[in-house]
Amino acid sequence: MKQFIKIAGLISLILMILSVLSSQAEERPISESQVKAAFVFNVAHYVNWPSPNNDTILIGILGKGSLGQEWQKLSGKNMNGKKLTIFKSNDIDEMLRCQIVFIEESNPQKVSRILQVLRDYPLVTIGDFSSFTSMGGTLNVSLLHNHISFSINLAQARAVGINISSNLLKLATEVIQ
Amino acid sequence: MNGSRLILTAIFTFSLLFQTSELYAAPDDDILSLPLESLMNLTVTSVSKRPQQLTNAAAAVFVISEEDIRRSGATTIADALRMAPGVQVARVDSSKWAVSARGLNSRFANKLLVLQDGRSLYTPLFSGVYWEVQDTPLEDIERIEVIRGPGAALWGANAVNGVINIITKSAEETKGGLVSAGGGNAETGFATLRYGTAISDSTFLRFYGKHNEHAGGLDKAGNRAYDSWSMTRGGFRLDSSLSSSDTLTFQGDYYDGKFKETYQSYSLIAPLPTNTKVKDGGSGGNIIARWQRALPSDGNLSLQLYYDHNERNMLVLPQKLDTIDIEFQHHFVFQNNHDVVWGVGYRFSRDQVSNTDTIFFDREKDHHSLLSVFLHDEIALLPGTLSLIVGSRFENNDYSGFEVQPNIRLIWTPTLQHSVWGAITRAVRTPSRGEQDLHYHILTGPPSVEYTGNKAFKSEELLSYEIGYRLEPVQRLTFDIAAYYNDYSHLRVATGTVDPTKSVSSMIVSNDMHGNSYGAEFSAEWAPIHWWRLQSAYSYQHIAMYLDGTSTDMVNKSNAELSTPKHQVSLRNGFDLSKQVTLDIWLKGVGRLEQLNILSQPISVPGYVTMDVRIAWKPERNLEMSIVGQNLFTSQHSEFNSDVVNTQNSEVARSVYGKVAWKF
Repeated sequence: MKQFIKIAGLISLILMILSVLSSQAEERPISESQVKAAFVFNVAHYVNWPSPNNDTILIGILGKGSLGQEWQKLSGKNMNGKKLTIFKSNDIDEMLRCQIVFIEESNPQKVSRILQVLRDYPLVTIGDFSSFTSMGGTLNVSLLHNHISFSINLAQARAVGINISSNLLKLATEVIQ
Repeated sequence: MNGSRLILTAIFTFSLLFQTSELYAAPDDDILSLPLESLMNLTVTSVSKRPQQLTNAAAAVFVISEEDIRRSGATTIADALRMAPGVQVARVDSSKWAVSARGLNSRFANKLLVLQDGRSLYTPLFSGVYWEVQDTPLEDIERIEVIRGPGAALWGANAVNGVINIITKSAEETKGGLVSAGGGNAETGFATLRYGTAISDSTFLRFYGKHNEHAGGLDKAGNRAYDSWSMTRGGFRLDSSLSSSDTLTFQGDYYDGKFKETYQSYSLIAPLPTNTKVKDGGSGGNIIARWQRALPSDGNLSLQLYYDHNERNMLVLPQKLDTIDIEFQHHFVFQNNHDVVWGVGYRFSRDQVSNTDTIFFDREKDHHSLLSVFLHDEIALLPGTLSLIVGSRFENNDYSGFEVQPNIRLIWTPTLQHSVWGAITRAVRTPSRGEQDLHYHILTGPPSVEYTGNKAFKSEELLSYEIGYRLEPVQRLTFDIAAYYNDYSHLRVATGTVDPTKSVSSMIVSNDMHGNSYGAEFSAEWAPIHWWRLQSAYSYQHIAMYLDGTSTDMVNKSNAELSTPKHQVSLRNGFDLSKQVTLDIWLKGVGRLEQLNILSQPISVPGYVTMDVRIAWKPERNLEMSIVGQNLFTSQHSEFNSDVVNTQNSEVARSVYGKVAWKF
């Protein structure tokens, strides 16, 4: 009986917590992921691709799980008259048709393998850890003292015919030529 | 303090939480409309609980990745753990391992908590892990997180010397089929079949079956020992995204194993132990349901329920165990500088043993419950550079009652290349059922000696002081150093004297030992060129134990001090010779052990240096063939002698196996 009361108490406690939390879930401070999504949105503005084939910019998020809310907000928005379409997948082959690929992985060995596949395609790869650009990624956006900062591998962008505006280069903390 | 008091504590914590959630309110500006310059000026919360960032934790953490496991050539989880610094892995016989972190190793090493997908693999009957039945297909493992040092505040009791967290892949990552099979002289035959499919856009399912046949080890003379074994296993995992923020996981496994084993019986009068050859079996299964919700601003909720059944037809003590466990966790950020995780859990376990002449329990059937609450707050003192972590776990168990296991940690990250951390932690190892009601005829007679449990046996305690430093001086080069001082008290020994004139002498389990250990672990990873990766680990440790009261138990004292090597080293070289061919060379060196058998006779294990080599050829993207040579330097070596249960140990032989893996 005592056992039963304990279990019942625990379950009712959990249910109570869940109900309160689900009603609370909407308020939010600015998070790292929101700012990074906003950064990716801005990047689309400063970049020209070699063959502007149609009127959409396809952004692929390479990672596990479903598309986060910060990205969903971005999807369908217009940038310089082009519509942004965003999807998430863990399949690298699906990334090859994108203009921008955001790589959520941060294990250097895995990222190095991913970049080996992507490096010959005219796409902008964006990662979020310090050695990303030196490994052959195009852009690294990371947090430094609670502010976002980014570095650019211009040599990689040029090698695949991507043009990056000097206005973006000016704001970068490091540009690899 | 009883369970209902604990629930009250939980409710109190919970109400505190929602008073503060008033402060949770935040700007809802559409940051997408901000120009880049303004975006860069925004202050952002720097906390993120993505698992990859575990290496930025204020603890000694080492992650074994899926690729590390594959390229190591290891065929069992226990052997894969040899890659981690500060972890001692030693094979007792072909199917039994002694695994511990930071020392005090034993087949029933009771101060290491092992979890797989949130399910405890620790057996509360003896306190320890049956490693031989933890044989999830290695291809399904996403990573193994190894945390040296006490993790009790976050993970629960018995996480005294370390925590091992085995995490399997989501079903979404294992779409399609996989067949892998092979064999060799030690791994005589193995096959795994796995198939994963998408049931809908957001629901994925995989199932697998696996069978392994393992040859026995070698005895001292180089003959096959009587300890071959086999395991058959099957299972499934379903992952479904209910919405953009909710995911649901169901998973389950069932296994059945057959083990040959040689037992030793010691006697005070016979000069040599007598050996008995037996066949025993073990089977079990589990089912887990887990619901997770991602909250805005990097928070999340999870609720997990599992049921686990296992049974073991051991010669000395047949046993069955059922466990039901429910756990709720909530992680959130508030006021931008508090990153809080808290949770409550309840576990109910029921066991049944069949008494034998060797071991019997006062009660053949018993059941126990465990209630726990934990709260952890990571406070950003200097945002982005200095964080203070305070937290504690409060548990109520049926043996030792209420336990408090607090910790305080500090991590300083002056630049992205350096981080320094320190921690002070208290952790306990709670009593097992065996320590309370067991009668173990450890020496057969007459005259015989019986170990007897003690209802007054209480928790073993640790107060631990740790510091660590991580450095990335240049890209592709990382160093990780951790050092610790552990202060143990109330450790388990036996107290009493053996009187050869009496037909049965009794030794009582008691908390009469204290001691300390200190040591350091170093690991480095360097990728000088993109096709070459070098990973090294070195561990040093020193342990001193002191008997208290009237205990003269030199066996437990010296096994605590010397069943762990002073020095241990691992050096892994990975070469990508071409797009299709990879070569891995793994050197391992382990220092000498000085164990004592139950008659206090020394049975030392010499140190050894050995090498594993794996060469793999991948002619197509979905096909890989590999040949692995293990323990190549010597024809055989010994790693450990058994302790609590007198299994005759066997030596590890030089071995080779070939494997083909095909994905479709």
